[in-house]
Amino acid sequence: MGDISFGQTVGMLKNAMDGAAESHQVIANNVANVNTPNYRRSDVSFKEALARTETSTADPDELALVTTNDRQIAVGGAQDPEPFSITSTVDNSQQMRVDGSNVDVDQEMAKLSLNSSYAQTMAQLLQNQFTRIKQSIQEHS
Amino acid sequence: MDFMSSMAKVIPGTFAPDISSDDIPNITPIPNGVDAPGASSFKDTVKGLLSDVNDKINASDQNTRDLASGKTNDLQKVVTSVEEANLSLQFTMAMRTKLLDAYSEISRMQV
Amino acid sequence: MGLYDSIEVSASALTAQRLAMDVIANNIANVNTTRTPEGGAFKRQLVVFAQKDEAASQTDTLDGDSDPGSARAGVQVVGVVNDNSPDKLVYDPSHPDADPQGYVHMPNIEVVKEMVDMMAASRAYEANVTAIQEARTMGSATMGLLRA
Repeated sequence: MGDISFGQTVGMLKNAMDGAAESHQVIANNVANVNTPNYRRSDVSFKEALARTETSTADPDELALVTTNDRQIAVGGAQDPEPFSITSTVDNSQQMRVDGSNVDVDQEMAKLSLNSSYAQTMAQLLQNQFTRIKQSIQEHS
Repeated sequence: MDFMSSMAKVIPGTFAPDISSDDIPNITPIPNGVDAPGASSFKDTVKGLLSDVNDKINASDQNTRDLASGKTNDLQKVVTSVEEANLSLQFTMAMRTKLLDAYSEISRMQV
Repeated sequence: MGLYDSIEVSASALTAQRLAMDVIANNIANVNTTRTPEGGAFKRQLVVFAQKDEAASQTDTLDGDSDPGSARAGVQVVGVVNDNSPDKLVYDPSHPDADPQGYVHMPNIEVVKEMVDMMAASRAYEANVTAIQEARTMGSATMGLLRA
């Protein structure tokens, strides 16, 4: 018997939570190194990759650009889903602090807080998805 | 019919009839003199209800996906659409239970 | 990797910042110390932070890959060093530790600077405490998936 597929939304929410966990790790490391000389902070991005995992159908009112070669840029039209990936990049921007660390603790704390609420929201929505499935399975309420 | 048809594939016996076929018997109300011209049949009511639930669920799923990918930041919209979909599903499930119970009762009647 | 590892990362910072605060407190306490066992006035001490790299694990995991280690394991104190900038010289011939010219070598500590460093360490400490709390909240929200 093959895998039971729970649908696109459940998959996306699971990936979102993975992305948020990785984000937290990186932000926590930035915060830990707030006073480390010459430290370079890192960022995590996953939301765009998440958006690209969606299968989207073409908008009937839009004219899509036809491409005949891989290197041409396609705009509009249906998009094939791409597998999810989380990328972490190092921020090499100049620092303004004497000790050489480019961590702004207030920015990092704000990111931390946002990421945490995002993760909790995703968890709640995922729980809701599972509850809905359970309700459908129930024989008698 | 995404949600409903995937449910039916996974769990046979769930109340998710394939409404694209016309197998559901067309039970029309017994005429009693004054009959509204466009009286909807039982089948149409069921069809409408299921289609409505399906739309609501799909809308709430799309909103959820948009929130996850950052396309929208409107938490209100997502949460209300999710709750609406939940309630519609619960209502439909309750109706299904009532219908099944009614059917069992009728089939148990001694003729 | 994951949420629990990030708690270790934040905990490493708590340890490091606490050590920094201890060193700073010691500096402030010794702002007037003119005699030390090594001779001479007390020298200001400072803490050197460095990013901690998780050591690559040498053992193979069950399925045959080894963990390449990560460059994100928090912060560590690599040393507590003396600040070798010159002592402050105060002219006071009546002081028991005055040198032949009447100058006393005072520690090279500016209390105001130490207070600022103390605030920075304290703020960093609090920020890391918050990070740990957030990690716990996220973990608990994930656990909530299992509740009916």
